[in-house]
Amino acid sequence: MNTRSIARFGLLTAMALMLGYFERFIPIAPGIPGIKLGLANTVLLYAVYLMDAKSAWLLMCAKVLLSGFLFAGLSGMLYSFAGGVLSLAVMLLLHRAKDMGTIGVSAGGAVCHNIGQITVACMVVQSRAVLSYLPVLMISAVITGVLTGVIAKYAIEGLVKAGFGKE
Amino acid sequence: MKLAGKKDMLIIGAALAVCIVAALVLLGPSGSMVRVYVGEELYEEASLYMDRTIVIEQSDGCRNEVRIEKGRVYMAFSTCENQNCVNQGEMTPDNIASRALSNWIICLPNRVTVELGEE
Repeated sequence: MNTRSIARFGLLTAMALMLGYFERFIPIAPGIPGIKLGLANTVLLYAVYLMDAKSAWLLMCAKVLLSGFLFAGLSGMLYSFAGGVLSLAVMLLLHRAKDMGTIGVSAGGAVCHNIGQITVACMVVQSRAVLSYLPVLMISAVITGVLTGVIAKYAIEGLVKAGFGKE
Repeated sequence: MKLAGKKDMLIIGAALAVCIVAALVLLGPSGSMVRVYVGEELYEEASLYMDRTIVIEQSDGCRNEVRIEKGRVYMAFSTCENQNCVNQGEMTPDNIASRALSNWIICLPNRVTVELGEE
């Protein structure tokens, strides 16, 4: 890692943390955990498209750990980590597919993020009740995933033009 | 950089299909029996038409109060931090089809779930 990539990594981590924090103040569905805009995912999408897989994994882990300590708490960290691992794995896989757009990568990642979280919830509560989260979380993931996919496309293109492209 | 193509639509379509199937499978017959679970164990069973408050106290200090009132059931109190269960509002046999969580009220941190089901 050279100085430039360390600085860029720090900026991306800070941005992901900030976006993740501020979207807590935009309540979309009170009472349903896990429904959120997922703006922090645009940062991760940037890493998926313009950095290597190792950096993307590092960024995801840094975001989950730091936002866990700062805002979400330990149990929140567990949920985000499960969601983060599954969604990043799927996004890295999907973005390699030919003719796949940012919307597909983003929506696929968002859906898998929620599946990861529901899996943890199933293990914690051990009740079939948790499955009732599935339809509502997946619908919301598709909608917010498409939105962040659009944002990511134009944000990444803008950043590339500004000189923050692939190294 | 591509925004969306056929493959993207395929992913969205697949997710929505899973969604519809899950919703259809989960939408069980409505009823008027309130069942309170802690984890996978049945804690208490009560009729929706007998007003009462079910208090769930656990050894780790977690406490929930499920209130049954005039044919409605809701989480009246919880020691959990996020208060999602309280915000999930009331269930009646008529509103479960339109509720996000169908016939369940869920308190994840305290592992308490409330079902409105058949006799």
